[in-house]
Amino acid sequence: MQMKTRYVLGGLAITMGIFWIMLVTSFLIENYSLGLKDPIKWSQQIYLPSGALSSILYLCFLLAWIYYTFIRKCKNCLEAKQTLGLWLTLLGMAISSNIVSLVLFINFTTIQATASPNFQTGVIDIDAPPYELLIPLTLVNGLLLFWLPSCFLSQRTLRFIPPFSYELNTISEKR
Amino acid sequence: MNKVYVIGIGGTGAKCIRSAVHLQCAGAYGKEVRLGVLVVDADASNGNLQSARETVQCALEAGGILRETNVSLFSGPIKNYGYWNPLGNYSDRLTLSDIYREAGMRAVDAGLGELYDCLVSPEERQADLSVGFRGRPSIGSAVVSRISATGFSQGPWPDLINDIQADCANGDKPRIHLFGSIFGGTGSSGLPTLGTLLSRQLAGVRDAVEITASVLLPYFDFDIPDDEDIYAEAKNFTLNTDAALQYLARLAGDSFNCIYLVGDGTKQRYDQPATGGPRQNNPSSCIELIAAAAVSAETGVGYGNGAYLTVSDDNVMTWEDLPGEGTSTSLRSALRTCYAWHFNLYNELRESQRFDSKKSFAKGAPWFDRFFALNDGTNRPDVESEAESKQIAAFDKWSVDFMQWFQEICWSGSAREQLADIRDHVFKAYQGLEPDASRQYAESLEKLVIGQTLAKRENWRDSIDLLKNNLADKKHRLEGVIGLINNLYEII
Repeated sequence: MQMKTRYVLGGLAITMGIFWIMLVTSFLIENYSLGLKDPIKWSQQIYLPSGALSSILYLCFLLAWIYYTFIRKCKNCLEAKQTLGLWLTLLGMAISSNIVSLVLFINFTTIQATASPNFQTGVIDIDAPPYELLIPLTLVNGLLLFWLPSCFLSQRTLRFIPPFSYELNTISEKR
Repeated sequence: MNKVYVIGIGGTGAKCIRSAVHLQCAGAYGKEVRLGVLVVDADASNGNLQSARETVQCALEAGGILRETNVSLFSGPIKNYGYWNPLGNYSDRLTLSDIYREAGMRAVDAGLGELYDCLVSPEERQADLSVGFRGRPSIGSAVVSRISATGFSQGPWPDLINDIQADCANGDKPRIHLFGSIFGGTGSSGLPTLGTLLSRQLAGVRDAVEITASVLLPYFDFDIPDDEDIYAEAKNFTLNTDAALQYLARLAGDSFNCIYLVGDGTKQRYDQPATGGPRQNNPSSCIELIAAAAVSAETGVGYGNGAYLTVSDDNVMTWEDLPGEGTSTSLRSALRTCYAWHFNLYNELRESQRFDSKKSFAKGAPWFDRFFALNDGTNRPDVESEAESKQIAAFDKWSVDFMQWFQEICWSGSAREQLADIRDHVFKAYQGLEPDASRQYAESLEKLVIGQTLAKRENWRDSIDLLKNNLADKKHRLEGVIGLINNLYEII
């Protein structure tokens, strides 16, 4: 029963993460001025495909961590705690892949829109919100789609390795 | 609670006591058995006797602070009646001639002196008995039988006899089980004699008392010791056995409810033999383990009814060969628990004591907070408390002794290892409060128990990490070190 609670919370965290990336962030981009010329088209043609790819990548990194925690046998506490390095690496890779995905989509996707005067002048104008806004968003993505689910879904001895997972788990399960 | 009184007579008897105490601690005799222990030997410095007494002491110390109701390890109490030396009253006169006051005897009755000459050789008369009866039952019988003159009023006997009589008065049916070899000196003379004398002493409650014995037939062999003129000789073992068995059958048999004869076709060879003293410290044998297992055998039932017990393989002992309903299961669990403790949990607990933040430790060891308090004021035991530290030290001391004993058994009487694969390990006690650097962490129990294969879905039991995870998944009735080792024992 206790284990099931963890899994439910992990599932909720994943759902929340996807909801955040695909809906909430999209909503913010479309409804709040982020310096975009056509926020709706940008959101639909650049952000959403990039967000979908990033979500899949986050889930892949998350699954890789969960699988690792499932098969990893640790002889002692110190050996278990050393795996925090791997967790941080995976988190870093997940967030980096999110940023790379966003950068690639921004730079290599042409928005199908009404003709812009810029085309006539030969100037290629990249319509994108500033990176100082986008990068913090990817950090939030990483927290919601990797850190939070990994707190609840890490297995066996490594169940409390993600930072604050012990504290989060003890909220739902009195030990 | 069943009351069992085990009396080990001589070096082999002491070794059987070592096995019996370990079986009791491992829960092989059941949770509701109180074991009284007495060792009898004329050789106070005998190495086998010392080992047995150390085992009893370890078990008493560990049992004293780790005993809990409804657990398996150390559930049954042990009462130590100590040690009785048949030469006790003659400690200043340690030759047979001194004990029988040869000069006075000849002066009073010349005929008696001549009879003495017939029965006892000049070397035997002058042999120093402080190292035992030198494999000569004739010497032992002459000394041990003199206990009848004291009427069990000396040493630990009054306490033992009183307890047995009190048990009978309470409606219990106590059992006295004697251990001894029948081919050496002290055992072959002491076991039938003490059995008979105890039977007579308890005549008033004899129907309520069971007197049984594990009699060990020759199961080891050795070269002539180089330390004495009068020594135990392996070539005499068959002759001694024949004579002692005849005595048991004709004269002492009625004193016992059941006698279990245990032997081995292949004799274990002891290197560097000694006639007695500290050097006589032979490794434990599976024959002694079988003899000790007889304590839980119901007299007159199954192998307790004179049935032949044989091992399934001539060359090695297997777990199925160990008699007794729970002997194999309990021993296997105790062995795996002690191994996991020795090569993993001990150092983990010591490591945890060094962590300032116990929560930080628990993050890498999720089982920890199921048994011990973090720094959050919960009412679980504090791993750094004196009580828990004592429990860690006491269990470790006993488990080292247990593993050393079992390692000897694994090598006994066999060209190859039997029961468990622990040949390459060194088990030694550690006094420090920090992790023992000489113990390499182990994770797998897969190859530990020879012949044990778990079903695929039970494979997790072979991983110490997964066992600890299982402990981490739920709360436990018992916490602290007691809870940790007993819950591990239950799932292992």
